[in-house]
Amino acid sequence: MCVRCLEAVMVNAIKAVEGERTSSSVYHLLKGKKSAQTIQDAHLYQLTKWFHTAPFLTLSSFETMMNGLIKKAYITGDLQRPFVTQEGVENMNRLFQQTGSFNELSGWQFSGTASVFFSRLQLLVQVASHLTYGDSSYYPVTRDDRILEWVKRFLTYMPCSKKELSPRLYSELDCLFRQLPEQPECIVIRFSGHKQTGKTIAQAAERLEMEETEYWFRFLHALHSMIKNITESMSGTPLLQAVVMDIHDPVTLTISARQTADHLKKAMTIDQIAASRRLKKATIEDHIVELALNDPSFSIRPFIEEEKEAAVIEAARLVSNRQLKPLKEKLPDHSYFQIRLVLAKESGKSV
Amino acid sequence: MNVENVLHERFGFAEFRPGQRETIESVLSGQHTLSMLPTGTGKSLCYQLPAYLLPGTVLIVSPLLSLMQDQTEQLKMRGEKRVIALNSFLQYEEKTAALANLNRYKFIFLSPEMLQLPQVIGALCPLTVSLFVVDEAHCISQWGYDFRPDYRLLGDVRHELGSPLTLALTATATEKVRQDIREGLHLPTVKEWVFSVNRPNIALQVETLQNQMDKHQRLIELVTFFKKPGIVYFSGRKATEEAVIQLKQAGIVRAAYYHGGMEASDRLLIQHQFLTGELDVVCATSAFGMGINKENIRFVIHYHMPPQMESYLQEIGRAGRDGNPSIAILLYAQGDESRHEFIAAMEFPDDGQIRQLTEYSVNPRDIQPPLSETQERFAVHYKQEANQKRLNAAVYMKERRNHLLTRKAEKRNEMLTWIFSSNCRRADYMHFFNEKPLKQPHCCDCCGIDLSIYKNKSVSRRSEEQLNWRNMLAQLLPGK
Repeated sequence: MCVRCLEAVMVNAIKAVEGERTSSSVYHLLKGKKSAQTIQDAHLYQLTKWFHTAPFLTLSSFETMMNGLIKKAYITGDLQRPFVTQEGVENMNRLFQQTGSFNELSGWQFSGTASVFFSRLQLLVQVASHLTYGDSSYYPVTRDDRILEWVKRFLTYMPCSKKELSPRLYSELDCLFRQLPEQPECIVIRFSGHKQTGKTIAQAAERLEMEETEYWFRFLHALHSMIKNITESMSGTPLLQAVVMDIHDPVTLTISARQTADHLKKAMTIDQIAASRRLKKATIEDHIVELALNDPSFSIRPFIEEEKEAAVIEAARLVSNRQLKPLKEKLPDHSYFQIRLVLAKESGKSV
Repeated sequence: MNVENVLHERFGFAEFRPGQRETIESVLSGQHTLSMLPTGTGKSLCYQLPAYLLPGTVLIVSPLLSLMQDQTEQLKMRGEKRVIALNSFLQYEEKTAALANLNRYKFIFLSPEMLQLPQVIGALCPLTVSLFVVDEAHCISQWGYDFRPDYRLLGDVRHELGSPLTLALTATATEKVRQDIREGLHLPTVKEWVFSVNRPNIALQVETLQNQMDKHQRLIELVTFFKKPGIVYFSGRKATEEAVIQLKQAGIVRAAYYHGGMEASDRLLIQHQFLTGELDVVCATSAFGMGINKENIRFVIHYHMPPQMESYLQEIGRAGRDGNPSIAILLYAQGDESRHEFIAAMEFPDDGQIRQLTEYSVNPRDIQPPLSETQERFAVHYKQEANQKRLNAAVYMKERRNHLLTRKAEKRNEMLTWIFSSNCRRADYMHFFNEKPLKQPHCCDCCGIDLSIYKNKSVSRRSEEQLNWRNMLAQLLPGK
């Protein structure tokens, strides 16, 4: 009896939390729930890899699968207190031996980014393909206006001519695919272009002769690996870097802000970071505000002294709305950046 | 510029299809027009073309989001950028931005509920509306097969917009429904163009089978036998998926399913694959096909009967738009109609939901179990109407629901009568629309047809090429 890949992932996560959490904590983890509890659990039980990797689940489909696993005796107990059996562990291991253990998957870091990245990439490939073949009448592969608008802007401001787009995309993708931990077909099969249409997830799985959830996790794995390589190596894939960098993941952060955080940890100043990343100082300041808003452990002290922080809080109490201008008038010695930073830190606390 | 020039230059067509010229010329001569054109004859051209000969904006009221998307995409593909669709799925900021810039657009698509918002009417009033188009106008009538309560408010909206020149379009409307359209839109004088519902190049056949097993068997036989591409309609999501598995096992590899439970992006891909000819057969629920412009569909099979005659004609009308011989087959097994009884009941809120809505004044969005889009539309509309009429909302809503359910049962019986009839099928459906029947070759199973005309003659290219990412990528993104 073969387990589906998703079931093995569930067993893996239940194993980590058994005796301490209910099965629904695993459901929330796979679904990527934005609650402090779920995020803490993900880190506490070292399950960040699977965070938000099965957004298609519904509570009822999850529970049906859980009950199936209990019936197969891979899991004992009940949904409230599930434990993984020896047989469950063996079957899970057998499956992961077949599929690999998805080493470069990182749901916590990339899941929010990955879906937007892939939608943009799909559309960009489609546009590039049709441009090259001189074919201007086709239906776009997405109806999401934000993606359509983004690609339109990208085409206007991209650092190459429309003629160069296709070969450059090819070489950047080629470069990434050579380092991919999965077969690149699992990505390419989903692309639409001139005279060919991408496959749906179900079709891709069938074509590659895989069980559907196995395909899904392999596809995500490949995608996360691409994003990691794009963002870590600062050269080599400039076009794709532009595709990824400004994606804002509501749960975590923009990748660009996270890189700023890494630089800050190395005790670099704002000016140094701006210089080394070749970004504007204001952009780095935006990142720092974003970090203050999202990361409760982020200290704003390097950028503002205690008394000045207190002054902003005091002034904000007196000015009821959150407009910056009246605050700035009350605080002539503060920069706008410092005021925004304190406000961000304060509202981060109340989330 | 005359209409022919626009037809050639803008749309790249050599000639009009039946009914298009009459409708367009009637609109351009300044007459309110009600046009009934059979499915598959290009209704949208009837407002798209005049738009280029009229000075102002064209407003198009459309009942379905997906239909709006299909139509806006088609216009954009033809190079028209001045198109916008206003619907409840727009984010607040997007909507505000769109409303502030409405004068930039030539084509404005709207859902009827958007026309109930004062800010939308306020933004439309300063525009010069050259043409007010009501697409799928039969939705206005409860005698029509797809009654939409909010369509009944369009007459007042028309007045608020200064009673602009109006074009009502429908594919299937009986005389009673056409009367409701005229009254509902407050059109005292209107030029009516009613074209025959008959699609002479589509032959019809009904087959009664013993049970579902026999139907499955027969479906595989038919799909294998017929020239493709084709569509098979089912009345349930699961059934579409099961059929695809069986068809593939029987060697029909290029088959896929399509239903409303799939991700929007997957649905779009299937639609594209079918349009480009990468698929031979789509097994679908009624969600598939509206707004799809595909000329060469050779067969439409109904694995389950549709809920009424009008849907049936719409769905088979997707075959043979290119005028070539095509076939429509309906497979019936005893009890198939009961599926629709259940589906019909699901379109309305049940007693418990109505109680939450009325006695406890729960917000429609918070009712448990949650209301579907159709249920919510019904609930909101009739609660409001009951309040205006100072009636007990719960009683009123139940009464309306039961009334509509009775109507649906009647429509279902009409469909069954047609299935069981031994008269000419074409004559029967034409009679349904008060048309005189006519004799024609390749008509229907009752008159006698030769299925071999629709046989698949070419040998299918079975083998799919090897997957190799380098070749695939090079094909998509060729170098210099």
